[in-house]
Amino acid sequence: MNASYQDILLHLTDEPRSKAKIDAALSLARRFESHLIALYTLPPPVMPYYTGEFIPTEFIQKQVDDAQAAAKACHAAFEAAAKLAGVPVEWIESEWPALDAAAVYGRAVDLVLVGQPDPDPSDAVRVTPDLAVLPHELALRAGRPILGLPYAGSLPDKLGENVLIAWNGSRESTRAVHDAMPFLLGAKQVTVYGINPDRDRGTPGADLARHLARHNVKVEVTNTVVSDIEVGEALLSAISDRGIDLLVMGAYGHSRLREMVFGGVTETILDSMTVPVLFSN
Amino acid sequence: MSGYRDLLLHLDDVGSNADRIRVAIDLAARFGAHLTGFYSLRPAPQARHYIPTELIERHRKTVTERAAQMRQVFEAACLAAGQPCEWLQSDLPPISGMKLVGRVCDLAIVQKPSPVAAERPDAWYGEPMLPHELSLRMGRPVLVLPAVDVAVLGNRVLVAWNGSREATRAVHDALPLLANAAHILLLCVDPEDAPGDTGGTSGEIMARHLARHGAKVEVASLVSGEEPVEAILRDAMQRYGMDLLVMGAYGHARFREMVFGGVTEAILDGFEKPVLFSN
Repeated sequence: MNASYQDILLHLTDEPRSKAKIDAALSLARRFESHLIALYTLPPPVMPYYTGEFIPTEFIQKQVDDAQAAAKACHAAFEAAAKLAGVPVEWIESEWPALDAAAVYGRAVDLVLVGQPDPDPSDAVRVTPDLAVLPHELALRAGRPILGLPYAGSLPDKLGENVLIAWNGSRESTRAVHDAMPFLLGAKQVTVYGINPDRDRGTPGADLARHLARHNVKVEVTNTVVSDIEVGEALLSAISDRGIDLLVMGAYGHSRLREMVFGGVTETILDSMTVPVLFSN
Repeated sequence: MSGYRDLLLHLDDVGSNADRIRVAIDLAARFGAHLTGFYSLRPAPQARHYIPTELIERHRKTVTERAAQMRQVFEAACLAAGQPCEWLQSDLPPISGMKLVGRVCDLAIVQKPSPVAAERPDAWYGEPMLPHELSLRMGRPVLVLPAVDVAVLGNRVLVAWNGSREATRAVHDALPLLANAAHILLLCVDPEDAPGDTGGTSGEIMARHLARHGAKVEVASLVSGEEPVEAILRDAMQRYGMDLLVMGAYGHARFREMVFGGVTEAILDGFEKPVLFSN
């Protein structure tokens, strides 16, 4: 039994930061000696709604051609970078909506890499609704860990040296911890950040530390008490105060609907993450 | 991912503890894992009116004595097998207690109460629901042992696959067992299939993934049609001589399964082989 990510899925589409995502994925694949699968989802053609009945065929064809050209360029760049890095790779191109394709292929890998949706994209038309919620939905639907890469800044080459586990003793946080095991085993420092520990509601962080020690992961436990609406902010400041380069957390401990209406930790972190985040549900 | 390092065994005084202790020690030895025995102390009887203190004290004394006996049996068996172990007893009822400690284990082992035991007047309220609740809310896999004794476990494994999130969880949580199995059949029952552009069915894609984990898997596919899925699984277990079923729990909402019935509940209620559940 190999405690590593045997295969990693990287989601790509027509966007400016593909290069940064490919580099991050290759560096992870090399570290874990994984097989890397790139899933490129072709953006669907945009249908203008104001042209009345007639849409010239050339207009659609041009978009399809452009999308295919972009995919081809990205494929070439991916293969070249992979060859340079010496990582075994596979390329999948899909016309399916990004979310459906990533959920199906994501179930048969050990880690799914997706980009955090850019809140202010240069070409807003290209961001289909499912791309804007890709990490959110995948975390719920894939049944595998999702590593969200922040859109801003360059991606740290050594991500996962200083890991923070957001721990509230819930079902979701235990999923995230176990899904992050290969990262934890390779980290220099792992901190269990207990949020509102409460014996009756969740498993204490100290119990987690003992369990992780049996997996040869040494952790430091620290607890904090904050009001429910401030958990996201508390995590973000812990990340910057401690120089964290990977956050591990359970996604949607409250129901999705509740988080959409009242806001919640998962959505806060997804909207304003500054470091890569490993989500699980 | 990594092997099972930390096993949790639920003990009570309604089932046949000797069997499950033996299975748990076997598994722990196979993976070099630590084994924790968990036992819930029964709460004092409650009544609307006054209960004499002596009654409560006597109850307390009886349950702690029973716990001590159980502990002795468990620790003696572990000692005889050279198995590192730990004893936990709690005032929490089985479901909440196991959920709490189970979140920091790699595999929880429970046994279905025999029909006779479940009818006993001192059976815990809600205890028959222990496997159901754990498989849904613990966030770790649950191995549910049948009321009858099991001889072999994990040599010939049937994986019930439908391409869902829950099935994905179950397959990955079972990896340490799958990596050691002699024969694995991934049975695709009404699978949600992959976008057709490449790579075959979701079962084939999963088989390729499992091969990277060192598990050699055979894939078969069928459409259930009129036949209930639990009957298909039971037939397949028998036909191929399987000794472990791996499946996702509660692909449909718990409530829906309670009302309309469902595969998980059907398997939990009437299955005579060990099942590894995950959600």
